[in-house]
Amino acid sequence: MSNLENKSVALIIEDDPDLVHIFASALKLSDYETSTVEDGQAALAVLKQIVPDVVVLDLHLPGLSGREILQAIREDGRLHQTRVILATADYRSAEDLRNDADLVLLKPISFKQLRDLSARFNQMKKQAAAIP
Amino acid sequence: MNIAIIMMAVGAVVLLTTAVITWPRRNTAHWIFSFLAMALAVSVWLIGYALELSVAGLASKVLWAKIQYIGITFTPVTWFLFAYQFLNQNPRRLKTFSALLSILPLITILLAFTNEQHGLLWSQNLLDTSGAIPLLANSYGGWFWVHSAYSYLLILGGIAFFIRTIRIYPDPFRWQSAILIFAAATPMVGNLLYLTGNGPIPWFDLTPLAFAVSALLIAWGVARLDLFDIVPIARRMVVENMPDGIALLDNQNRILDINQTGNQLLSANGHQTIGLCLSDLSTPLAQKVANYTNMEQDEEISVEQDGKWRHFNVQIRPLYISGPHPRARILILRDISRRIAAEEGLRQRNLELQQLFAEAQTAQETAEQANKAKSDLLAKVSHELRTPLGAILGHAEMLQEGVYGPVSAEQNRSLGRIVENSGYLNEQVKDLLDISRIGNGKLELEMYEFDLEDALTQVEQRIHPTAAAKNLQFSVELAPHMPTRITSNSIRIQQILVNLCTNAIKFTDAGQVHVLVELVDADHWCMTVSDTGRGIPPQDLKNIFLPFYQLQTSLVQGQSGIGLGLAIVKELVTALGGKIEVKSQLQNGSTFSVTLPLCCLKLQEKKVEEYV
Repeated sequence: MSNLENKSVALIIEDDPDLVHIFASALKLSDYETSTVEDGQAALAVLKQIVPDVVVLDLHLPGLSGREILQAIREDGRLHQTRVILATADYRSAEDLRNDADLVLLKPISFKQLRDLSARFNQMKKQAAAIP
Repeated sequence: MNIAIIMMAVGAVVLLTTAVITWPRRNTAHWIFSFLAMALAVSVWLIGYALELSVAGLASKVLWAKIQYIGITFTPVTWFLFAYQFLNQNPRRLKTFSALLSILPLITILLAFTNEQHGLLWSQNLLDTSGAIPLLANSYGGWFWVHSAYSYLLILGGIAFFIRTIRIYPDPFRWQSAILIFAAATPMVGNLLYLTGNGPIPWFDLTPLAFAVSALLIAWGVARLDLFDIVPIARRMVVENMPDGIALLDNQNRILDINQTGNQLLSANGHQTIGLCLSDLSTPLAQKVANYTNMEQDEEISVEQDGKWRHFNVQIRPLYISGPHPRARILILRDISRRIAAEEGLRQRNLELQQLFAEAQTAQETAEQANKAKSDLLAKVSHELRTPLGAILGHAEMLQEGVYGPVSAEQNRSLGRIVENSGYLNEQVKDLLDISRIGNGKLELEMYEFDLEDALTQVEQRIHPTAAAKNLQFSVELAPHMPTRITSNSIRIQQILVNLCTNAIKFTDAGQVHVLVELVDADHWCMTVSDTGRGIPPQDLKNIFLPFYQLQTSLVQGQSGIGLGLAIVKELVTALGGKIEVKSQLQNGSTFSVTLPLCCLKLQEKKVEEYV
């Protein structure tokens, strides 16, 4: 797939261009190769082609809601190792989906926090690969 | 001899007087009629006998003997009728019955006056002059025995009726009943003594005197002891004056008897309805009741009478007199209009209540909708505010972190102010959202197990820069026996501590802010935030947990905030099942203690992290 050079792949599913830019910058700093989709349907199509290590998922999306995309990821056997970071401004949804997502970040999301957390995921992945 | 005559005369006079005295009661005691007849018959007998004894010649004695027979023959008849009326109170066809019973006595009287032609009553009338006074010595003819047998039959029948009457009366009247039996037996005893020749004076017939005594005993009992009339009359009066209509119907629906109320209910003009058929009566009630042909019925019916609806409970019961088949039906009509009206009133009230309830429910639904709308608006506002805040914060941080190349110290300071103020703005938005949710009663917190040390570290990391900026010492202490894995809501615990610490720092100019987390007892733990600040004035202490409340001093000294911090803390502590207390002295610092339960039911993995 895309992680041929063993570089981690992150998919950002977010419709706000400012946030896309910030998230992408943070993830790139943590050594991720990033792709971006701005609506739900497109996100599903992309998820059929790639297996990202991390998905940063906004809940309020045009087309298909983040909640449905999260469900699709969880039901897809190929994506069982994909970590989902849910980004939402709604505390209630955050509580609801706490168990389905790997991480829930309440907006506004700190650039530094996302950078540090994604770096930690990447490190964990590398450590796991190092074990023979 | 004279004594006997005088006794008989006195007996007759007393008897007739009694009859006259009891006469006014004839309307309530129908037996008075037969009692009077009996008194007359016995009197005729007594007077005739007295005169028979008084006169000298045979012809005169025989004449008086004949006149006596008017009394002798009618005494048993009237005695029997008297007893019969006593038992039946108001027997039907009494006149016919009396006439039939009188046939034989009339024949006897006729035979007595015509005895010289046939000798059927007396075969011979002789004058016995062997004693002190001349007496009539008779030999009896064939008819005499017919007459005697008939008389005894009637007397015995009368006694039987009296004994039955006694059995009907309730126990408290038993001794009055004894008088009645005695009265009934007296004439028989008198007659037996005479016929067997065992009387005190052998030639003297005690029977008429015995009848007199008997009649007097009864009269006395009636006058002095209300011997017989009270109970039956009382019963009659009760039935007569009952508020329910009661009627006795025969198999053709004819009214055999009816009380006053029944008559009023069934008759259109108040005329007597006895003997009439229910279907012949014109009232709507009678017409409706006439349709019931069952032996038993219990139904509530409504009829329109004089333009008004009236409601009745109609009960029909069979009346068994003897044998397995009912002879008549008892109809009971109860006016239940008032009860029905009350029920109708109750139904109306119920309906009104239901309407009120429905209105209240609609109002509540409207309020709930309004609340939801408010909640939705706040969620939207919050989202709309937080999204640009995220962009501002993110871009500033990127610049700060040198993503676009190095920044100068001044630029970095400015970026720091942007980040700091965005954080503050975010905090206020969050508070507003929280308090609106709390106000809606929608704050339901999930409980899960988490690491308390981690949570405290995060609080420390967040508070430390603020404290350092004011040169305050900030420390967090975990008491030795405090368990680190606890069940609560980590985010809210952190929120409580951050709010309390931020407040403490805000009101402390020098010294320290200290957080102590310790075990209180087996079931509770406590977080205490103490400072060395200016303290809270006593008059403010009870208000500091109210939303939007701010200390006067803090306004004066230009402190920022919208006054929601402590109100939110209080609600959060309550939602977590705990309580918050504050102690403070002016210029001597404040201490806020939050006590929380150790055990919670829901255990869940915690994954939400939050940035401020």
